Amino acid sequence: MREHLFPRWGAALFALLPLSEILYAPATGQTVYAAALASLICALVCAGAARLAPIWQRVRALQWILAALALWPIAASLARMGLFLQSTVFPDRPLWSLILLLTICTLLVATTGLNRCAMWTLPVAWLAGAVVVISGMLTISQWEVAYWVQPDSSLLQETGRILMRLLPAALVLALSLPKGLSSAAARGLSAGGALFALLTLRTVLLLGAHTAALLPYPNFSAAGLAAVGDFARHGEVFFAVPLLLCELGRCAALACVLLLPVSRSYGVLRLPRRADQ
Amino acid sequence: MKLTGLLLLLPLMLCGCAREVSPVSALALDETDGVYRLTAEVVRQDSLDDAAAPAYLSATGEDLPSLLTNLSNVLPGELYLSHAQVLLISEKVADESILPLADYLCTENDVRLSLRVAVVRDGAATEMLQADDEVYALSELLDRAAQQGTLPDMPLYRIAEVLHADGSAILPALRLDEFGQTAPAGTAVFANERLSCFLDGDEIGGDTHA
Amino acid sequence: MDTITFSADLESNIQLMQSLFQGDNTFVTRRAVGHAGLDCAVFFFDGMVNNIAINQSVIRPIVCSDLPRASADTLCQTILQINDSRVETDSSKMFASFLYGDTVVFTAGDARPVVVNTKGFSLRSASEPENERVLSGPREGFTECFMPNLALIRRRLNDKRLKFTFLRIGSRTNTIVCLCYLDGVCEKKLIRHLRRKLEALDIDSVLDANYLAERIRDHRFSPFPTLGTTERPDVVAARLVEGRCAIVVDGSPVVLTAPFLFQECFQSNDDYYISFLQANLSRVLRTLGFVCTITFPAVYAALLLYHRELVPARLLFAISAAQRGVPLPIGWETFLLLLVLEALKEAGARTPGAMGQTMSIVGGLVLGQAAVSARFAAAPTVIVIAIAGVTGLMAPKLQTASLWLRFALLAAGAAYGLYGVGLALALVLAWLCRMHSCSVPYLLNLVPRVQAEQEDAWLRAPWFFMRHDRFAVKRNLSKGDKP
Repeated sequence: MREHLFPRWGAALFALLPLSEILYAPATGQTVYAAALASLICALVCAGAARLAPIWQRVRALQWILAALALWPIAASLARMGLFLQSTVFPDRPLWSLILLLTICTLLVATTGLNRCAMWTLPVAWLAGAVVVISGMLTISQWEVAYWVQPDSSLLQETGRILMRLLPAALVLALSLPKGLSSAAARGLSAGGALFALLTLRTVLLLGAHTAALLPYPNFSAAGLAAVGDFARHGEVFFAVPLLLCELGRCAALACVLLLPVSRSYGVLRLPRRADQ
Repeated sequence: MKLTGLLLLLPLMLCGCAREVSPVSALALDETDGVYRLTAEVVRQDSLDDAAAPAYLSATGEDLPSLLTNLSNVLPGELYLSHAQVLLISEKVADESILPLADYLCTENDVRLSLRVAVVRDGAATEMLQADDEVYALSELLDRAAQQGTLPDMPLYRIAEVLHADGSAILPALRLDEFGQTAPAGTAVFANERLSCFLDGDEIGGDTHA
Repeated sequence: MDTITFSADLESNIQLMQSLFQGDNTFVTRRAVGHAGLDCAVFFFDGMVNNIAINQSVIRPIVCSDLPRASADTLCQTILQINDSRVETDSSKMFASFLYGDTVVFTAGDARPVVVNTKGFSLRSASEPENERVLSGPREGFTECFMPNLALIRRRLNDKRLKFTFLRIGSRTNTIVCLCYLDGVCEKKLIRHLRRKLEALDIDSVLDANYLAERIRDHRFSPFPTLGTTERPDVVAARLVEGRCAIVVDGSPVVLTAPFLFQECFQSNDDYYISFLQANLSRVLRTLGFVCTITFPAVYAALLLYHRELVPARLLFAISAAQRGVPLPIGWETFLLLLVLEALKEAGARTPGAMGQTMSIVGGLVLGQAAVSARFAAAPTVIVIAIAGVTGLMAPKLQTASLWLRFALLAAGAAYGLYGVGLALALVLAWLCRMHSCSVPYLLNLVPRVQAEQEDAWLRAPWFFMRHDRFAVKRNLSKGDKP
């Protein structure tokens, strides 16, 4: 089969970005709206950026700028994943060892190249989406509609906070895409954003804004209340693993962008050139 | 060579974090003269053929963190709260603000958010905890009563939320009856984060916002 | 064998042949002289030939011939009464045929030998292969004999486009290898690719198909198979129809097929001969079996080491009780029991018939029970390993992958809990995404979904929905496909 980044893979890759925010996002009443709004803004910006991508990719200096821009979201993602693991399951392990493990995993996935990395994201995105939906459905009976809050003035501030984390990675990836994937990027970000917003809504309706504010990872803790009989009563980890993989996918895709200027063997940019040859 | 290296690493990884734990199924919190006493129902099962049997260990302290630390010092293994399903508090404990207690338990990583808290009427919480020889009998009683609507359905996460909202909450109340058995004893009503009164019998139940 | 030149003198040819095979007691030289003076020498290997054919179709016509002299062409066309004979000028080809059971006839006055097909060695019957049994459907299997194997394929594909291309591989064994394909159905690129790979092989011997398989397959170090193997002619025929190539190796009942996709690991030939409802359930079970066999020990160790909160309370107390007194940490205990399982499997497979069964019973039941009683191992661990062992048999094509992944995931689970298992599975998925077989993505139809090929990917559609004008193996997507 031709090496080609199919729109479905592209959409899955972009869906991972909002999905990977779920674990770390706070669950104030405003986060529900902020998640949806930030994802929508991201989708619009990335759809535009993906159209500019071919122009951007022609200039090598701009590729270097993209690579430099990719560094920050990668570092931030690895650090927060490491912190999450340390504070939830491995309190005795040094943070650096967890980050090292995650970095190795990221690089191993990244060595497959951006195409294969995007291909990898498709089952991962489906798995994460399914887990998020199932986790939400299992807790429906415990939701308290009274905990629902109206949007207020802090919404914009909350949206800005989410955008700060979501937009750099999304923008870097959008500018590295091959032609014709702008709608896939928009679709993926919208779908991921919708799940992000719905899951935050679940947390708010389940725990309430006050209790959620007490917890370092409210969406993660709320998932622990989804139980199937006596089994998996504390099953946050089933919820966290696919979302952690989403973040790993995001890091791997960004690592592909990071390695793009130094090695042509990573990512889709080499393909048109090879085809020309 | 790489493969050999990986194979050498394998045995190290297999060791994992093996540790002996003391699983706790229920907790009781009492207060006498400003000193708190925390009793844990620790479950022990020696062989597959035996039934799980409870053992009771207590520790005293001035606040919940110190109580948990002291308790873990007297346990044979690591204090393991993930399977704790009930916390009994005495009337005296409930007379003080229970919001810090609820907040602390919510933030404690091991404690389940679904932990049920009940107020013990006319007696010590420890006494009630030790009254039943069967593990998880208390939590099954509270679960069943919550499903039937005879006692309020108030897991830990809901208590924290309603107390934060307006300082009022209702909790299930239990007492030891004349035969020394645990029995539902209505509803404990909290106002301003403190125990305000008890509502007897079926006067209230189920609805958390009553 | 180096090129050897024969002369027109029969005596010198006889001496040359005898000197070449000096010391070989199966080498037979028979001088046949006709009553009119026709002088010939017949050479063959005892045990490799059909004696009746030599007596009646070679020696008798020569002895009864009215001709005083005959050239090799006359001998071949007029005298010998056999369906397959030829004048062979290439000595290396002549020797290859001769060593393979053909008879060589020299006539006085002609340096060219006549090669007569008189192969007649004993053969195993085409019985059902032991490791590919079916509930219903054809029960024939390939044997070690080359031509009958090809006949089994041709009998199922009466299509003039069916091609068999022969190659000789192995400087010592000189084994015949046949590349089979359906011309016009199989992509030319694929045929060229395989042919190039086979021709490039520089090896001494090919005694089985695996000698070639390990050399020509893609991702040679991957535990996932990238080349199909089967002993059933119906499977080969089905794969040829789907546009694949088959490689038949003389002396081996195993036929290789390429390309091989991941989805085929969960397919069985039974699937096509029984109701699609039952077949699909079996496929789902096989897939779940594979997932179970690689993850069960790892998840067990991870749960007990890091995520006890996930285990229902009473079950946890029972497991903890069973673990009490066991000297090893759970990770090590599981690892060692997995090794014992593999040892029992190996012993069972290598022990003859009835004894093998006894071994399994003694090993599985008696040892297991004794180990639990003696507190060498905990009963739940034995159960988990037994489940892993049983489910591992459900996808036989993935046995190597199951074996290695079981250990790798166990290490990941023991070191990093369920997060480790998740990360390890993610890396395996990344590896699978990267793999290809003969340039076809290994996960074709599963992740890069080709719309036209969904009828037989994870699940099999009923036969009345199958479209036969589309073939599963295509490197380039056609217009109608929507990945």
